Amino acid sequence: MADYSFMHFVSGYLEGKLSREELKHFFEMLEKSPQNREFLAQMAIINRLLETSKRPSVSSEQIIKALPRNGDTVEIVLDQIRNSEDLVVEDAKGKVINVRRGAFGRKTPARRESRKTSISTGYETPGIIYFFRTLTAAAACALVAFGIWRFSHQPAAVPSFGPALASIEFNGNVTITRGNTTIQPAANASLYNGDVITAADQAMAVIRYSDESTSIKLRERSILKIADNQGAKYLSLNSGAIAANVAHQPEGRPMIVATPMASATVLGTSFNVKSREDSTTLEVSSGKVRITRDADKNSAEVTTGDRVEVSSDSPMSVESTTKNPVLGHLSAAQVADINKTMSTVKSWGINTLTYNITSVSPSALPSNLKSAITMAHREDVKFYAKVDIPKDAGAGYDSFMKQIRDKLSQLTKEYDFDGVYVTRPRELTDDIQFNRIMTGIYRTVYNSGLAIAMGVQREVSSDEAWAFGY
Amino acid sequence: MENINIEDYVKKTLDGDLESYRKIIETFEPRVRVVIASMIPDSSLVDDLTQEAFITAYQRLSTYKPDTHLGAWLAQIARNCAQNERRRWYRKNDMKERYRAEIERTIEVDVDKMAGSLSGDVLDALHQCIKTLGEMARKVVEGFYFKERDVKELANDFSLTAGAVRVMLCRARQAIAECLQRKGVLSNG
Repeated sequence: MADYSFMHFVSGYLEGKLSREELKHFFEMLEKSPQNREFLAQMAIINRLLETSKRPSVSSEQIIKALPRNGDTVEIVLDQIRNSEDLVVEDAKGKVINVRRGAFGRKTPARRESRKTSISTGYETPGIIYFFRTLTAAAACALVAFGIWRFSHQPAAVPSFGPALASIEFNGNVTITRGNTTIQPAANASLYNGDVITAADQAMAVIRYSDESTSIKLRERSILKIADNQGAKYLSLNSGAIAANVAHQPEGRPMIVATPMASATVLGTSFNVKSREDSTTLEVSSGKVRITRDADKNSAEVTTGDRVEVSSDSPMSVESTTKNPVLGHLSAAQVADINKTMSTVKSWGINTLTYNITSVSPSALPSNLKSAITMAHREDVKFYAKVDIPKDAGAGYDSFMKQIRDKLSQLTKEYDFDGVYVTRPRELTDDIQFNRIMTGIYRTVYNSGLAIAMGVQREVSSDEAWAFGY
Repeated sequence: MENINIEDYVKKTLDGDLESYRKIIETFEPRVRVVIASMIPDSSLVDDLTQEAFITAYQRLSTYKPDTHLGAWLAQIARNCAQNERRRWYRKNDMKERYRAEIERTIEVDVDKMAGSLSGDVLDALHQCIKTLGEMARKVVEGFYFKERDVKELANDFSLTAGAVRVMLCRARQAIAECLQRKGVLSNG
């Protein structure tokens, strides 16, 4: 059994809290004793397993995207062409002309070496390395010829935009303004330094950074500029709202989210920012964000479960958002008559709505569910997808999980849900089974790009229901 | 049953069916991640390395001998990836945090031996073992690892000294290790 002093050192070491002198002393303790080394090895492994157990699984989709392509060189070139995006360019007279984009539109494979210099916790896409390794001389020639052809067909108006920063998935009317051009992006289009993304009414977009698991959900009626400031991420939210899930950022290079009113400094966290004409609201689901009012440099630190509203003429006071949600579970008829429903919702003080998707196929969802979600958001009411775990989930686990995974991965991309609200039947008493189901649901939602609070399962009603998200 | 499906997926992947490789990833991702996580001092690298291990495995899939247990083959690739990354980490940290790199080197053999012994559903067993801890120890572990509370905050929460929380965490890890050994997912060292 290790003694008290050694245990103190072990825990301090695993926390990364030992000073240089303490590390030296600890090292000497280890050198002297094989038992001490074995003990530390065991503790380090348990520590690492615990650390990794709280993380979502690595997305198979990301790995598949990053796989090297060893195929026919002609196919590779054709693939570049297929993946490039159509540009919409206005000529001097305002007439819209369609052209092809000047650079390869393939999804943003990141350079492996660049990720090694960072301490990001997310995914990488090192396919470009393998991609180039596998190119034959013939392919190189074909690409050069293709590049020359592309260059010669490129309009002067298209700016140079450097390496891709992120990719975008979207629903509804979303455009990218790059320099003087407005682009209607293809699915999974690349985003470059200085791109301005505009989401129109009832549209939404998910922006995924290339080298890590950071994702930003852009809500309807929003304008966001994405930029790179010497390796630090810079987002300028001109208007509208984002929900962000930010992986740990490299030391000295925090992500900055700027609005016309304030700037938020982010090291790695989940949060919502809403920018209105006269105020900015920040809500933090997990982690810590510092927000500074531009006018007087007054700042506030906002931590898990807190929110702050920044306006020009009122003090910045941090409030808790952990008040119990007041839930309203909507029927199909209430969704169909959402105008009337919303007045009831407001008068009853309901702040969270749900719609049950458990036994409905995606094609049978109410036709105006998207509008209902949009209207709820405009009234600052959250909207969750409701999942009822069936009583017999233990016996039919595989089929239930497959069904719910398929459904959630589709719906979270198409609908702007704030999260998922899960109910547990009293009959399901097996905690391990329940945790397996929750982990499966959580991972599905996380992998589908909904920016959700990492590892947070907010208990919302006695012991029966959990929700995660914003 | 799993073997039959997995071997089919391997064949189909070799025939160019990426959906089959997706099934392989989904089946073995926890195992690969656990092996890598247990060997790497910096947990922020685990996701990248897991991805790298699956890319490497895809490139070398034709060298896999059918019916020789794909999981073990993937775990070996994961170990190689982790060892390579650890060497890079040592080099980087020799300059910045010399003693930390030295300490990791001194426990490398033991870590590799224990990481190599991990088997079965480690994460599931881990969660079961957490539940067997005493109430206070469980709360401290959950607070520290799953609610991102640091030692000082936990000390404040439970009216303890920071030193007592550190020792409690250490004892809890020890109890978890013993529990994992009883369940047969970790060797006795």
